[in-house]
Amino acid sequence: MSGRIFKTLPRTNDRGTILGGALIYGVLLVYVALLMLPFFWMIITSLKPITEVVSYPPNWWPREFSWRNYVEAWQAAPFGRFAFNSLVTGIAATFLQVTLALFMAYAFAVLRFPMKNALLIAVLATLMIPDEVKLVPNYLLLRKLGWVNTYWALIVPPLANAFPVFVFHQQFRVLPRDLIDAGRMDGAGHVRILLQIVTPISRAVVAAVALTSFLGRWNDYLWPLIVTNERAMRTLPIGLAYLKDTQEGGNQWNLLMAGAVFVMMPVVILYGFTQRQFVEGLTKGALKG
Amino acid sequence: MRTLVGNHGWATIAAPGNTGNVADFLVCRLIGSIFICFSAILSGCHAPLSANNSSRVEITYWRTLTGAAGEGQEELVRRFNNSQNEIHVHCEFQGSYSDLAAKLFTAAAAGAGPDVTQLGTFEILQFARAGLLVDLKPYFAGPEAINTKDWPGTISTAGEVEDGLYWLPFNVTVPVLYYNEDAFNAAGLLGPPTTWDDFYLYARKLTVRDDNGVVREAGVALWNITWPLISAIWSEGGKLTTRDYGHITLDDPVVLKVMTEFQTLVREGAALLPDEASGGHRAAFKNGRAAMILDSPAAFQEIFAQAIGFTPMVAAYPAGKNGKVYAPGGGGLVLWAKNPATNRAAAWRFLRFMLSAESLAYYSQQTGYAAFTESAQQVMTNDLKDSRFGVIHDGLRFVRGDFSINMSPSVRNAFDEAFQKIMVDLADVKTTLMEADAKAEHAIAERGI
Repeated sequence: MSGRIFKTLPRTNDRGTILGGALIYGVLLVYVALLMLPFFWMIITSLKPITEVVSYPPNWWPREFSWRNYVEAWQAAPFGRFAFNSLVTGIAATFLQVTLALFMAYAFAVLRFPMKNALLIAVLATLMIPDEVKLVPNYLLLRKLGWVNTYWALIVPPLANAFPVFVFHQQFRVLPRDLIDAGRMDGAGHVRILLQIVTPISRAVVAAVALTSFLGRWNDYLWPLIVTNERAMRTLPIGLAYLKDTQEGGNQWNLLMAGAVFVMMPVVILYGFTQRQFVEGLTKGALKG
Repeated sequence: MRTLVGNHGWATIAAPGNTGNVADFLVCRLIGSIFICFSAILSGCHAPLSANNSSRVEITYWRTLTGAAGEGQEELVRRFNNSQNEIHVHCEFQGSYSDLAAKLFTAAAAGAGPDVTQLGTFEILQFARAGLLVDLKPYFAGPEAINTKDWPGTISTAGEVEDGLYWLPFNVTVPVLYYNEDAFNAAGLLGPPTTWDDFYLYARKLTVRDDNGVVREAGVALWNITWPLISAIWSEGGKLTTRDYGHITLDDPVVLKVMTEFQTLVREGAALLPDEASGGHRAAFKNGRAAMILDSPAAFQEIFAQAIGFTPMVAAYPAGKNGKVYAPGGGGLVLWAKNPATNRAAAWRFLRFMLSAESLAYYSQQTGYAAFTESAQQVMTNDLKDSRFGVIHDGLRFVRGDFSINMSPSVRNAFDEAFQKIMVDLADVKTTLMEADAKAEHAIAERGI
């Protein structure tokens, strides 16, 4: 993004312009430093012995690196199993959520059928309902289905999410109608048009929604805690709770931060691979017109 | 195959041989196959079922706390399961006390729940009045009763609501004072304060300022909750509320006096009120920024293992004009009422095991929580030779079996809010307490709880 701003500056030796560019970079660097500070502190704390964590004034760099914190944090709970559960439920829920949302958004944006607008408003209205309000009804339903403490409980309820439908709908409604008509004339059905024409040209938005959806599942704490009881079904955020409250009100902050690092790392790596699509997807609407 | 098409509203039938719709059909089958594959995979990946003996009663125990406090409970459950064949307990961790409460609320709404659960003090009244907890009094009259004769003070009554008894203590705490012995020596103080008047005086004496008058080390760091102050108020003869919340006295003259004393310490810089983000009062004590803290024995291992560059000590909580009167804290055990009678009977047997002398002694040795019965203390005689454990256990006899403001959300919220205003905003104490009292009474009149 900063590169884009720099490119818009005229290439000149004018002193004021150079100073202006330097100022913009300076402000951006300070902003980035502020954003990175919590992550830096998390990593530094994860490498300190506990006595250094509580020392005052705080040390910005560990006097002694305690790599063992990572081993202890990993062994405090079955994090391997938690990571597997988070991956399975995250991937499955993301795939299904994006698939369902693509079909719904396409139908609302392209097809004509009775009460289309009313149905769309009804779907979008669910965005106004806080998750906490849905907690008990969803739990009751899952209990009746016998899904408590199963992967179904972690995957299926989040699928009813209107946000991806809203984002895809906004994307599809501005696509040139001619594209779809051309597909129809070539003999393609709606499913084929959606999967082979509309989705590929919307891949940046799809990637952004998929990443957001995956993050939502990866970081979710309360719902997995409510619908799972046994260790074997727990996910990574609950694993972090195994490192909290070692006594009444007491925490081993260094172990907790080590746990936070290895919970966060897969998401950071994933973001690294999808960064371009993610940013493009988020800014697509802003760049149009 | 029906498709939704173009300008005519509802569908037309796709012509046979239309390649686009054949492709749609194949894609739909592909997506359907993926769903089926997911189903197959997920159906095979559920929580492993434990081996089930048909005559054995399976019960569930929900717990909180982690580290030694969590592992200690897991070990006790293992010991119980190994000690007999009739009952098998599944021990399930449910997050912090507040997470556990949220989960219990949700389960209650669904008519579900564990057979036995650990429970803090905040939800006892709500759950008991909602009929979610088993009244344990009849069990004390039955053949498998628990002997409470050696339970200290009036702790056995702490879980009473109206005429029933719904909660029994397990991981019990009483308030204690931790102090920095080196700071005391440097200030010329020979030992910990024994009265509250001494405490305020010592806090001032222990406060170290630089040449500009800026506080470098405070006398005391305060916990950001009201529990440690309840014992100070009771010891000085103050009252906060009656057990049934029929008479609330947050503006009692003694409450006013105690809160004013603490606020004055804060104003003078002799008391710190560190936020949780900076590690709270415990971090301030461990890193030498404060010479005393008012805390619970649950912090014992943490304090003695992590104190930086000084000798920490633990002492009895100070006495007031009424001597020592301590507010209990920590957690206890309850039986869930919605489950079948066979489960409840099995749950009671498990609860008896958890409260046996051996179990309490083991848990105390592992965690620092008090082994609150005399018989449990006899089991851990050697540990009690350590004067630090001795101090903690000696305080148990001064426990008053009353959770006071903490069982009522209305009164607790009003007092907590007043505490924040008084200690953080340095608001006028009398006005704030009067407002809190009125607010609590209004909320109780409206909601009854």
